[in-house]
Amino acid sequence: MKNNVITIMFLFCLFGYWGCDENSPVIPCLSCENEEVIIEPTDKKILVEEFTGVRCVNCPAGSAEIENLLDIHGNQLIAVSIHAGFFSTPYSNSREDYTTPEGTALEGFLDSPLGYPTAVIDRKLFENQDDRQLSQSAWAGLIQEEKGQLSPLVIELNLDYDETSRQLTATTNIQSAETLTGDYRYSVMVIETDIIDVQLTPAGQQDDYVHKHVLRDMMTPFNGESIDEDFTMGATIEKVHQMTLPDNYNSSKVSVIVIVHETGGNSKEVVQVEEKSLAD
Amino acid sequence: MKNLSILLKVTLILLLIFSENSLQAQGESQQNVSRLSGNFQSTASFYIPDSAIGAVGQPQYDRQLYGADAWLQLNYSNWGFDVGVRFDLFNNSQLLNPNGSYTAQGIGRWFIKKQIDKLGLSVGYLYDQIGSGIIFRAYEARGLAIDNALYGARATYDLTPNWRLKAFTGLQKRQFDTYAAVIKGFSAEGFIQPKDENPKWSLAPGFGVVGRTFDDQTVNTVVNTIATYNVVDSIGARYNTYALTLYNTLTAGNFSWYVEGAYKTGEAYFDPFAIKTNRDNTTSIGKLNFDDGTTLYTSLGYAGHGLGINVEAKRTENFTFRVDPFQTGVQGFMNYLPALTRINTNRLNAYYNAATQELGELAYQADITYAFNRKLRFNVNVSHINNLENELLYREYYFEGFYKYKRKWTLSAGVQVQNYNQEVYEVKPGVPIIKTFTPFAEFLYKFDRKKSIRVESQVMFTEQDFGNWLFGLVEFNIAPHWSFTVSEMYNFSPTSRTDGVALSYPRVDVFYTEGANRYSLSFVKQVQGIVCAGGVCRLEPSFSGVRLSVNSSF
Repeated sequence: MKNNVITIMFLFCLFGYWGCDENSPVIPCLSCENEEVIIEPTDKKILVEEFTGVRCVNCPAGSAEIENLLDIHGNQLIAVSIHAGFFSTPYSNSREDYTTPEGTALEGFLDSPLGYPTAVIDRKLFENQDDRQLSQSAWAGLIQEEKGQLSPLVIELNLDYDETSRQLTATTNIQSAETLTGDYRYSVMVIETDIIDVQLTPAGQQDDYVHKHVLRDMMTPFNGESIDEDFTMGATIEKVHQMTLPDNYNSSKVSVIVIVHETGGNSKEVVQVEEKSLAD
Repeated sequence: MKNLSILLKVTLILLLIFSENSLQAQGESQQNVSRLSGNFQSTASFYIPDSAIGAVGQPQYDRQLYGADAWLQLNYSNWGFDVGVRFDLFNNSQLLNPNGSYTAQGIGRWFIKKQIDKLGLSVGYLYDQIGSGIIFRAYEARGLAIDNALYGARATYDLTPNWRLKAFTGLQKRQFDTYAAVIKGFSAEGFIQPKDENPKWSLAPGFGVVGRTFDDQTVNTVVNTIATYNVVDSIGARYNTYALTLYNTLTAGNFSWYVEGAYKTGEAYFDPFAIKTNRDNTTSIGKLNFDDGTTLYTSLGYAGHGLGINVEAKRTENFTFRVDPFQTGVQGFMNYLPALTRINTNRLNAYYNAATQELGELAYQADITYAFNRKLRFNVNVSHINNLENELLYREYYFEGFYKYKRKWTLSAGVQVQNYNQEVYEVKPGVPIIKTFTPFAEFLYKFDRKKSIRVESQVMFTEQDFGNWLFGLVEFNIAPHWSFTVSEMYNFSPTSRTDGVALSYPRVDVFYTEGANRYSLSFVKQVQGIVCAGGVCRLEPSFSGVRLSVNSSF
């Protein structure tokens, strides 16, 4: 009896050993020192919406990872940091409150995060993921997966800014390379980068922390405006939005992001996104 | 899933019909005795926003105002078959994601089991484990929305009455879906003892192996993630990972000794504390690592002459084993690493919990209970957990004495001292280790055979986190039906964490028990805290509102 058991266990181990022999996947190297890093230009740009807060001690690590990914993917990746949720309540010595009604609404609209840092990539529910909010560990791989896709839409974004009146006019021309039949909405975000203010970091409250890509306002409702016109091949749809920049915005650091995204059903996926800075 | 649920409903109705017929035939054949059993559990929550305690900013407080969870399990046995089906309901539920709202309902589990001589067959959603669960455990912990059932097939074969082989294959349950990784496993377990009339010792050895194969999508994501890394951080990736374990329980007289050693082959896993070098040579925290893993666990127990001693030790290194390396929190675990800390039940004693650290810990625990006589006994528990760099993660000293005066009253009192590494357990870099000193007492007085009162109090002294806490509870019982509870948790001398504001968390409960049915209605203000199920923990936000629950078994 005992011999039988030992024999079976021995055979199982033997089979297990053979079963361990696999062809492992090949890891491409995008940042090897001896190879030139080439970011392949693609028509479809990728939107990463990071949810953060001034009281979120781990969020600076997430923001650093976003900067690293922007460094890798260049202008193919567009980032916005949305201050929302229970970590975003300003400190008494914060210079400003970076939460916005639109940002708070977006947090609910794009699924609730399980923890922070968290980000939504292209507002997409990826295969094998529970919801759109993704922990930091998944960002790099899923952004890489999104690269190389073609979008049927071409967005041309023009900004006109009057320094005196601080009037900002965003004119968006959306051209379609093919006729689209789905329901689409578009959102226009106003973001400001390099804001210096308080942030909780592992070393404690840091008064001169540099907040990047902060969502300041939206020129559309948080879930976008519906596009009533049809996307027919070759046609151009023009949208014009205006707002007066508040005095506390540093206009030289302001940029505008236009997002065309799906609506209807459960899909909120970004079809195309474009960003332009007032400094450009 | 929809077709399956219709099929199961039809099956259930048929089973009920057969059940009735079979019950009538019970006297005719003992082998065809049918048995239908089950249980029901539900909680409905009505949310009342309270910004003072942070119970705001969630869908339930902002707009939904209501949430509910419910489970109905039915089990039926006949003709050597065991079948079961469970209906799960989550409406605006916080269980899956404490910060979110989850709504889904349907057949959450079904299974069919049949024993054919030495061969046992099972299909459906199966709960099982190998050894103590270090390499594989499929289980349910409803309070944390953990339901790691294996959706697949299992076969067992009894080589002898004392030796059993087991093999299984399937996918891990993911709410009303499954994860993509394929899981398969094998174990051999036995029982050995001398053939004496009164054997003085016995052995219960076992061996197990589990394999997990990632799907292409998961491996592509791993590969794409690693591809963005600098050369210094670049690692490999694999489709297949195996975990093996050897374990044994030696019982001799009043002693019992369990030992288990497990090894896991290398895989890419996410280390939230690892330092990654970015392209511009700056660094950020958190990256994928590639390592194999080990866990050693042993437990030595003695029971006799009023004395109970249990000493445990565990060493874990890189033993994260999930169905998806990008899963965080308590979802996607394939295994269970035993927690080596005391399971405290008092409100403040249980406030700081040490979650099992799957990436590395060295843990010890000793628990001693001694009863001087029927009136007086005491319990001492010491636990100590370090990481593998020898830094303190958790330490607890716990002493409690019990005195029972006839059948009239019972008094228990004690003290607990804790050191809790909040930086690691709650991923809050830079915060200090929380040091607590918590005396506590409980007094139960029986007025007569039906009426009794229980008073409970704890005071936690700490300079960190929220500061000092005071907890008091009064419970009045009228057996066998009614129980009324009023409690209050108050953080006197608050810290800067609440901007110096003292917070109050009152709670009122009414329980009514009628046979196997239990109902409760509660008004709750609950502080944010760590909620655990056997070392698997997560941070849950504050709660404010009313809860209504029903539990029943039949």
